[in-house]
Amino acid sequence: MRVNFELRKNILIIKLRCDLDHHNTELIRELLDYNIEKKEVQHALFDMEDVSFMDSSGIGLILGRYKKIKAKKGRVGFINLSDDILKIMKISGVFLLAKLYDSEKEALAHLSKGEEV
Amino acid sequence: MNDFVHLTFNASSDNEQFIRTAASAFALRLNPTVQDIYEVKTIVSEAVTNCIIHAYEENKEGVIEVQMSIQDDEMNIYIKDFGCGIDDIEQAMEPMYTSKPEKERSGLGFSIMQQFSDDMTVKSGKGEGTEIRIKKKIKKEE
Ligand SMILES: Nc1ncnc2c1ncn2[C@@H]1O[C@H](COP(=O)(O)OP(=O)(O)OP(=O)(O)O)[C@@H](O)[C@H]1O
Ligand SMILES: [Mg+2]
Repeated sequence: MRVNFELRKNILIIKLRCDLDHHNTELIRELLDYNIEKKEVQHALFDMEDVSFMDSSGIGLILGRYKKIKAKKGRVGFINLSDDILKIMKISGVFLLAKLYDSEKEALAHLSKGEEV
Repeated sequence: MNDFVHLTFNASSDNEQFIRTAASAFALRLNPTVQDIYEVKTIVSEAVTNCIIHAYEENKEGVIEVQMSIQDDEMNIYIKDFGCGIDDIEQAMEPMYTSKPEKERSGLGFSIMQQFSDDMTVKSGKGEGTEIRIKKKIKKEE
């Protein structure tokens, strides 16, 4: 499986498990949207532990999903970023929109409290 | 004589992983840092993805060439397609400019390639395909 989903209350944990390149992002985009659009989902937490490569296709995928969550008045968080992935994500400016957390526990607590980024 | 590798392949996204992995494997003889390996992979991935998405608009019959060579501590990467070409190169290279926002592209590919390389030149024209030449100094792992 290229992605695992887990729902914790209204937070969808999206564990990405493949290289986020053009090839894979095309394969998983619809699956992500199908899960994000479920009515119980308001926020999304991306777990990047198993992502070892990401380029601008991955950035496009993340920003696109951010917009879907934003439309639901939800928030987006990230956990488990390696240095390489962090570098690419910094170039994208995504951290102006979404927060990087130190742990899943912290992320879940913060996302469900409804605090701003 | 400098070592070189030439790869010719069709514009299928199934080839992307192989090509960027081949590029990073080629760089390995320079004993690069993990950071440089990642940057070589990303440069090649961005350039090849652009050929597939923009030059050939996902038509798998398109042909892409990647040539790599090593000169001292420097890697030269050359990526060529025979697709639609770029009308306005200056605009294309602007950060955040994309001709395909509807495909969730964000116009960062050229910026990333530039940031990760020491020198980049783009040669293109409408209907003439595109050639990208990149030089990247490889730092040795201690
Ligand atoms: N090989 C190519 N052939 C034709 N046009 C190209 C080619 N490479 C880039 N372009 C043009 O240059 C623009 C900018 O490219 P760049 O890689 O910076 O952004 P992008 O591919 O649109 O988005 P991203 O790379 O962030 O997914 C593209 O939108 C496209 O119009
Ligand atoms: Mg691009």
